[in-house]
Amino acid sequence: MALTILSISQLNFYVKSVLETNEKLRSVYLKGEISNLTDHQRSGHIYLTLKDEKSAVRAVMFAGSAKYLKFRPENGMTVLVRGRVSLYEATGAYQVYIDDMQPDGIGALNLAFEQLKKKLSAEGLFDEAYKKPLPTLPKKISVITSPTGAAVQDISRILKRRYPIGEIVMCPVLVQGDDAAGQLTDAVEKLNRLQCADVIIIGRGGGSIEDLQAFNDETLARAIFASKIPVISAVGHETDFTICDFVADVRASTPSAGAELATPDLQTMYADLAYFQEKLSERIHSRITFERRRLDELSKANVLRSPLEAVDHMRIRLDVLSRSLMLAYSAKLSEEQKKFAGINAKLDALSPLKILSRGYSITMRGGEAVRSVQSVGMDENIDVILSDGTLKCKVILPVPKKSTETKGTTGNEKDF
Amino acid sequence: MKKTFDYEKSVLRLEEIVQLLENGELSLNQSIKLFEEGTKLSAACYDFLDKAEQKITLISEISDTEE
Repeated sequence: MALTILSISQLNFYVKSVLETNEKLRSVYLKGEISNLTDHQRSGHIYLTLKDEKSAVRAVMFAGSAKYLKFRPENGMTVLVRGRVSLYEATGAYQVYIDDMQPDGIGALNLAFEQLKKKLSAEGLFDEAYKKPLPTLPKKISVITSPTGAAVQDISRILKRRYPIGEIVMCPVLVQGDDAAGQLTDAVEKLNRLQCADVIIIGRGGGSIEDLQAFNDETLARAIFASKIPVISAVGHETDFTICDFVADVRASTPSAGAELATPDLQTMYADLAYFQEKLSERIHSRITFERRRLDELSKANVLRSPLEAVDHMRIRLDVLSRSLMLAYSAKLSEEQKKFAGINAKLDALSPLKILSRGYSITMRGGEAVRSVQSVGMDENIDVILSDGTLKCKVILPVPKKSTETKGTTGNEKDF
Repeated sequence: MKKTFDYEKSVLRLEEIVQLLENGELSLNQSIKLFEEGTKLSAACYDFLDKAEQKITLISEISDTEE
């Protein structure tokens, strides 16, 4: 019996064909934990190891299948996979070729939702700081929703009742199905490009997570984040949350609530107007009343009632002043007169004429009074002035007084 | 008139007029002028609300004319 020697390639080819022809291995369902995950961004192929407590197996998911994944596989994640078993001839390793993969326990969509929420949240797309305030009186309210759904009916009804002055800009789109997310995104971008809305309501009625899937789209989330126009997310019912709700400026629990958040109530607007109007009349009336009272006060004032009164007052004052002036003047005058009379009397007493009249005389020489006998010589001409005229005299002999007899002589002269 | 009427601007102006009058720092003449302006604005606003009819435009109509 001759030995059959096989090449490695032949062996691998043979084992591969055995595996591939086995009915049980053609379609297997496996549950395992992901490890050694390599996600090739370029090719889109995913390579990983599936393991349990004891064993592990290599697995691959090619791009053609991987693109349908609703979530991103991660190391440590327990997954359910459907695939076939084959052998990679180049390494001789047998592996599982995965057609579909689901997260274990939680649905794929739920997981995808949680993953996207975490990712966008980490990027800051949900931050309060980026939330734009809604306009108080929007002129144009854009509604992005299905033209046939209940949401558009609810929104239109509420806007008509609450805010008929606004213009509704309708963006009819698909809200579920493969094209929905793209159409929703386009609508948000178009409204921004055309600048034809002051506020956007984006939404649809309630449904399962599959129905709301379009509102969990990452591209839509980024378009809403980038929107310059404030966006109100109004998806599903109160309990439904979508990525759209988190990234929008305001989340409304339902489309009807969205319409209410977008607009003020007409009744409130009427009330505001009434308030303003009341304030206007109140202010102008109180102002006019105030002016009237001021006018009353002014017209009561005496100056307006008898304009000459002021003149009279001035005249009286003038009279008082001029009288005071006269009094002060005459008092001063008499005082001066008295003072003058006193001086006059003194002056009179000192006058040389008065002394001459009492028998004294003044001896003059050359216009100067002679005070000493020694100042004149013999035969000099002198004038002796008396009270009633002058004696032209010639000195016969100056006789000086003996100095000791000065007093006696004076007394003698008096006796003459 | 109705096309150019801007409700939001009118209401803001009305609010401003009320505040100006409340301050009371204006001359009587200015006050009366503002009051007249305010009364006209308020009447126009009422009129606008009374006559409002919801206008609905399709985005396709807008894009047709602008693109």
